[in-house]
Amino acid sequence: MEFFIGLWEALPDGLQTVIWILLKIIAIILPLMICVAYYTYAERKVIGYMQVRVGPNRVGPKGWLQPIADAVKLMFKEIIIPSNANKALFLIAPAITLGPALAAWAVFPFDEELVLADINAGLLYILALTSVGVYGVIIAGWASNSKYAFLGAMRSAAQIVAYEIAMGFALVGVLVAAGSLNLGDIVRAQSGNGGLFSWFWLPLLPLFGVYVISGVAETNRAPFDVAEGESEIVAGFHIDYSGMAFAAFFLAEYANMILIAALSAIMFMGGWLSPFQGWPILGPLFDWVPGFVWLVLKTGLFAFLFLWLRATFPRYRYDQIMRLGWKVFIPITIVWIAVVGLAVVYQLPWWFD
Amino acid sequence: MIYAKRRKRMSTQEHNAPIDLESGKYVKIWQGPQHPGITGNMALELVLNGDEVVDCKTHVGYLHRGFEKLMERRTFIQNFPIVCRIAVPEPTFNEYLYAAAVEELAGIESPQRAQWLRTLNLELMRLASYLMWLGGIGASFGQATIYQWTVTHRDYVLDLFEEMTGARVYHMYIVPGGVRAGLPEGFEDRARAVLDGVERLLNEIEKVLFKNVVFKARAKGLGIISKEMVDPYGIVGPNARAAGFTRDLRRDEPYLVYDQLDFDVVTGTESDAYARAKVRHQEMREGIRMMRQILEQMPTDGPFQAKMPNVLHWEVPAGETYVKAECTRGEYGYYLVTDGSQYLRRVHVRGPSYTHAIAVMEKLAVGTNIADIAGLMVSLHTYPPEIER
Amino acid sequence: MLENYLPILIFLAIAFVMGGVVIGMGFLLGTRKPDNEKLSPYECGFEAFEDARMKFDVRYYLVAILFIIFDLEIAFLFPWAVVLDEIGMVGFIAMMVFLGVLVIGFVYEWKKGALEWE
Repeated sequence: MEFFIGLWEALPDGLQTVIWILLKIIAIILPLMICVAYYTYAERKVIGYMQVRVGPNRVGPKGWLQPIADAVKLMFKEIIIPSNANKALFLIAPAITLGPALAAWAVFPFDEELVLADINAGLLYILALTSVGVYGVIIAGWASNSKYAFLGAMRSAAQIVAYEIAMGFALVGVLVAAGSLNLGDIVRAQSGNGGLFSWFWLPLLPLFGVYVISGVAETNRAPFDVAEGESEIVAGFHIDYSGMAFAAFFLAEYANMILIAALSAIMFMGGWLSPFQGWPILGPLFDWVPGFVWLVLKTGLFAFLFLWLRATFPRYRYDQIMRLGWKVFIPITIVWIAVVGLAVVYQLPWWFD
Repeated sequence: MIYAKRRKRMSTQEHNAPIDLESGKYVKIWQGPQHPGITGNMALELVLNGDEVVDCKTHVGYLHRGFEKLMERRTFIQNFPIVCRIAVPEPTFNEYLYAAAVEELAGIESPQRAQWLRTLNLELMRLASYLMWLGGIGASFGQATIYQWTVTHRDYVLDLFEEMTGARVYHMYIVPGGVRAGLPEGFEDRARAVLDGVERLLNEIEKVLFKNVVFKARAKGLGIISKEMVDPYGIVGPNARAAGFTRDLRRDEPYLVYDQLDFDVVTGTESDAYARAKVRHQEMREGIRMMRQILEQMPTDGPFQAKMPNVLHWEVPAGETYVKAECTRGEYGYYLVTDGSQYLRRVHVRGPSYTHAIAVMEKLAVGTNIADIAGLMVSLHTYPPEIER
Repeated sequence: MLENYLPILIFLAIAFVMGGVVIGMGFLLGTRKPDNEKLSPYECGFEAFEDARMKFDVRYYLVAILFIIFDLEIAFLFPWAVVLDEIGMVGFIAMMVFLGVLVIGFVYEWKKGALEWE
């Protein structure tokens, strides 16, 4: 033991910080990966029960080992690179999709003070990274050199682009209300004596709706999954992918879903704040619950919503998606930004004083 | 309403100029034979301008087994395993029509009880087939939940078939001269329980699918069959009824015991994919109503089979006949020619899938969105093996 | 201030390396038995008879341009949103004028049919 402490102290300061950071990053990525794995399990289970069947129940007790089995299966499968595909791009694309989905968590506040990089431009960073993901999709569609993949990639690009704008406007509304780009400050701006009624979902209700729906569209999830609409272009941009190359897209999609769910919780549902904060009896009663638990619960709520949507809605048609994005969401958000701006300028109680 | 209007504008776009694939304006895409968005094994060759289909050619032949020719080389009783494979999800209609045609040629009258049992069997089959179809229309629009629900209940219906006939899918229950067996004990109650379950499911689907905004937005105005199209294209069954034609062989030319049952012929007005789904959804309710009456009124004793000659050396007198019935997709007919030997001279099966899947599909597909092709295809309700019998 | 960004740099590097590791693992562990049929691109069971990198006549180009305009607009809105508290009514009106101009452009596009997908 002492040997290790000695070794540690012998290291230069810079290296020590780097190792600390590395450990912290592992502490984020590892649980995230496990979450992603069990999110897929939850999806199959939840949708299974919604469809009056039991879902996976064979691997391990109650099917708990199913995600592990899936991972092992995918690892041992052959990665097929189509003969007239652009090989380098074909392999880079999954990495480009997966990278940002993980890296976006760097600025995410898990609790008061529990954040890896507490930077001022946190929201901007997340917005930037989620936009990078679309390049993976486009490159994958292009590199596959298949018509179905190409069509899927084009659709995906146009769709993400349209909803990116709506999402960006919704975020501007949050910024106006919170007065900061730092995710921690955004949460702190929502604390108040009203408990869950002082969170931003109430004054920013239209933006909240736009953000969550845009989030579903950004992650290419049902009912906005035209990029992989299986009854028309089969699987869209990842049609020619197999094995771990496909798994990378899969991981990225689910990591993104969890990210969007967590961001919705941070920006509109008060992050780690207790929903009963400042309430007469319930407030003190739930004081002992750590903030992190609240955050996980809220994230879980949105994550469940994603699954629920998938089980309930038919797929939107492509032109309808574009219509919704451009002609409904963008006007709504622009109007509401003006409303919120006025409220902030006039210091309207209770949220903006 | 607004959707119908938009669709109209789309389909009136000019496509008179010949389609030049080299121009870079069009993309050719195959949908099928290895494609999740196609019913059974057939292929659509689509030419797209953007997302809009400007040309559609159907390709069949992936399933050609020559049913009609095969039947000329087998004795009358040996043909039963063949006829039920012509339309996989609903073999009973083929069995009934073939049996009825042979009976007519041989001059055999099936007993009254057998006719009730046949009607029950046919209506159960219609229910099972519609359940699968209703799931299909959900799945083709990206709503997989409906499919899981309906297939679950279809399984319960198949359980009933198992009790009734001993088999789940290919029953060969209806044979010349009557049916193979009577009903097992307690079958009526179990059947009523299943019917109640299906009825609850239909109410649920009404809420989940038919009132869903996305489904409405996509299915309304999709693939409108105009009234003028119905007769020239030979459109029959629910597809014609959704266009407002009150045509149903069960009502117009009653066979079996349909004249003793009380049921309504369901019609629609819009004649789009939504109306076609709605008509079938309603028809399932009518079918359940009919089956309840059958279970109530059916004679419980008496012979279920007429006296038959030795079927292993059965020579049917020379003659020809055309027998038709209302299957789930419309008028279904068998034309049989015999020459007095142990074998059929010629048989022709007239199924509605041929016109619906080829002529009608090629016409309706033009001007629709690529995303709607699967839904359109399913909404016409066709079976590829029936196209190429 | 700047040292806050070091973790992000490292995280970014690790994230992209993870992407590489995932695929590398697939190559390391998976089988590799390519053959001609297996490597042909999916074309519904037909031979891929033409290059998929075709000219494609959809309105993606227009959408891309619209996107750039609106995304820039959002970029302008970000700093304004953060300091709106301090700049008060003057700042608000200034931004509303800017937004108004963009909205006029947006309405024009809408009326011109640039947002009609079909």
